[in-house]
Amino acid sequence: MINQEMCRWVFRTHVLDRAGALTSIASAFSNEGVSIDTIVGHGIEQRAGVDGSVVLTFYCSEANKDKMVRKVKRLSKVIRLEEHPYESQSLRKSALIRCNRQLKPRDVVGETAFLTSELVKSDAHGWTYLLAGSPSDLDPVLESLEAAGIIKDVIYSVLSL
Amino acid sequence: MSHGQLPPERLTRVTDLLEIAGRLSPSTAVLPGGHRVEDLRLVESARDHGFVDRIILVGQKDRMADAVKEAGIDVAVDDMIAADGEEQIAAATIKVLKAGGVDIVLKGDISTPVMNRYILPLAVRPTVSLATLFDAAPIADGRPMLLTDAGVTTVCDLKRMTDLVSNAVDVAQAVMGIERPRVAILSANEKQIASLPSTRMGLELASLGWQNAVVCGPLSFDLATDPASVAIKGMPDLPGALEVAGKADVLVCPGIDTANVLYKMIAALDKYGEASLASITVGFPVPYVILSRSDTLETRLASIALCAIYARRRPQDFLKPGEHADD
Repeated sequence: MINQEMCRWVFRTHVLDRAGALTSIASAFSNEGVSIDTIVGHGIEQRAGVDGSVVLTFYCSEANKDKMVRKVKRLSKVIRLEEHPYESQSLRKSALIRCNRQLKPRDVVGETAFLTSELVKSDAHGWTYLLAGSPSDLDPVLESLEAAGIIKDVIYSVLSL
Repeated sequence: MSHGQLPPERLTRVTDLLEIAGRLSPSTAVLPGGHRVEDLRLVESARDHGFVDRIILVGQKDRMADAVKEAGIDVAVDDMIAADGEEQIAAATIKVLKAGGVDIVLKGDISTPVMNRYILPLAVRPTVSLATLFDAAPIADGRPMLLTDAGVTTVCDLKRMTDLVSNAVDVAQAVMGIERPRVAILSANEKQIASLPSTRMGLELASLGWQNAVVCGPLSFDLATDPASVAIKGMPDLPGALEVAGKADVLVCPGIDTANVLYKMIAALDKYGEASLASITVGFPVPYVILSRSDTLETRLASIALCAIYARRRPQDFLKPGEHADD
């Protein structure tokens, strides 16, 4: 029985020529009708032709994810691919947020663990925090802080492995 | 190659066709039966990738206008040519082709026999044939190869087969960047078997003194594509075997039925994510893409890219329109 339940997945690809790899990976997903949620290229040097990595997140069934693994691995600019369920504890996500009040310990309790929480600065614009944890812990916290009107803005959020 | 240009880079993956085509000057495409939304989205995607710029649609006026609106694409009013009925659409497309300035024909919502009946008199080569570029993970370590002819040439006598090889060699040179392609004439056995005519055909084709290719036949599929099979079974005692066996760039099937079955197998691998393919019809003044709705979007887009590359790099064709009439 093929599992058709829609799940969120993360691919981390090690690539040659990040710019070209971003295009060919995006094209492979588009051709298969799978929408990419987020896509980020990482690398020390910001020029084409050097090694780097591309991290992307997307929703689809496990069968479609397996097909995308095969498709992406066959792209000439992709050297290696790691796949993870979005809930994987080996994934880390961090977010820099500006709040309209100081956060309390109970504000940063994730589903499985406390988030790493660090006050970066406080000034007339509010309190700026760096939060970090697994995506499955951090995302619900960000959602509840947003719903409660505590977050003024998310300065950035980034996924890493 | 005699194009007065640098030789093209060696192709390593079929999916790279999109990037390579995008680096060349963009093509003008005419779309007979251009009133189907999915076809318009496809050519718009080709435009997004940068290998098509102008799109000329030929189709039913109202359906064409509705499709353009639904697809949300930008087509100049002068590039929407109204024609009612398949015969008129085909005739109007030929008029556009004869006027010049078109690089690619993409068959849209029009029956293939009707379009072919109108376009065949324009053939500039003695034989029109389909060449399919593919790479498949389980075959030859995934390196790209050409397969011919899975869909056009039904009569496979020595003359036709010679033409198929010539057409495929041109595509291999222009698109795959291989100066002297290694061509395998496929059969079920590498020995001469009287009850298996394709074995004789293979040897005859291989003995024609090819200058721009190394042709070897008859070769079975595994001996053509897999060095490990050559190691196990031994090098066939055939002219050209040392260069071609296990390393073929072009696979020439003994007939359309074999080629078509092989094509469909590769298409099935494509749908599983283990292969990519793209096809081109060679022999007309411009490359002709016969799109199939059962092909994946990736295959259809790659086929347009393949044609765009061939349109820019192809050798000079050797007949003028109208000189050929034997198909």
